[in-house]
Amino acid sequence: MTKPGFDTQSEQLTAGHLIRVVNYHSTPRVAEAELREELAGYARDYSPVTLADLDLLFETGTWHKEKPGLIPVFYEGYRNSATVAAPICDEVGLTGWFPIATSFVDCDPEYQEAFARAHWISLVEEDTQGGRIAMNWDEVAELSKRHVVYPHTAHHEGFDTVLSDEDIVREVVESKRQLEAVTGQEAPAFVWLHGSSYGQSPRHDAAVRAAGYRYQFANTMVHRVN
Amino acid sequence: MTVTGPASHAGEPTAAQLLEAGDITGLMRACHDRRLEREGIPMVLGLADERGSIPANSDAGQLAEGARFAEVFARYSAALVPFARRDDEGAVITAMQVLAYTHFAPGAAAITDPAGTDPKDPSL
Repeated sequence: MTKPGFDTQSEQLTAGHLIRVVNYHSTPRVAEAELREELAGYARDYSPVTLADLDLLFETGTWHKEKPGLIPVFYEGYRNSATVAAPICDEVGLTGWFPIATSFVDCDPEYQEAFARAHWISLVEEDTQGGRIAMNWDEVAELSKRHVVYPHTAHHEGFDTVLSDEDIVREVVESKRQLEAVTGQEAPAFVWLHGSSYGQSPRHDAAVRAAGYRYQFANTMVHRVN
Repeated sequence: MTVTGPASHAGEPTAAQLLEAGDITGLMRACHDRRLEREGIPMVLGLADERGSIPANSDAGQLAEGARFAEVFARYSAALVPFARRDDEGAVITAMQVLAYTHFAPGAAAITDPAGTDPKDPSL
């Protein structure tokens, strides 16, 4: 298991085994122009990264496109990830990666603000003006046709609060099954709340592997686990 | 190589200006001051294959870029988190965030042209 640390990071960088990401959360309509400018800048300087591109990078150890790869990641499953961020990604030619807290999507819109506040999902003013805050399942399915969607647990949990077998099944396994049922394709990756690394807990690592995920995303690295 | 860095907020120095001034702490503050509803958090992630090893990178330009990232990571780590244990993940994240914020946000030159760079150039 590869544990995070200064030596690990330095070795990975020196070996040229790296990928750039940019992490986003709520992307409200009011800031759409600025987001477009930022993503257009990335699209100009970097190449999109599809799941197949990431697979190839792990298979060969070498990035295969002329410009370096960049993954814009839109966390949580906000409605505005589907209605603001994804269309901009389409427009500028980037592949978005969308880790989704599946129970946030499942939650009755009437209670989504409370769900968010109860589960470390940050909100901006526009999110609290009424109406649905999370994506709906139709938006998730549509998003999966052009971008990468995968579970960010069910309830936006960290491995340190997912304790019982039942908790693990709900947060690691069922979230994957639910996404796959909606999208009709593999949910290829997983990420815990706080981006905890693989290698912190053998029990949770085994659960992620057994669920069939290909990748676990973490704060300092991408782990290929299957 | 010129590092133009990310757009600065009105009235604030750019990443390139902070870097030129050697203000690594200022860079850390700037990247932690990102307006998260409008601006992303850039990061460079390493790759780890838990099934075995990853084949060696065969591209000289990518290896040179990685080596320069590692050099800058060491420099920023020494400047910002000299207190940290070797396995202090939070400290690794802090140094890497500054690296990513400074050296690959929109407008920053891609670090893929070693022929055009000066290895002693502190601007990377």
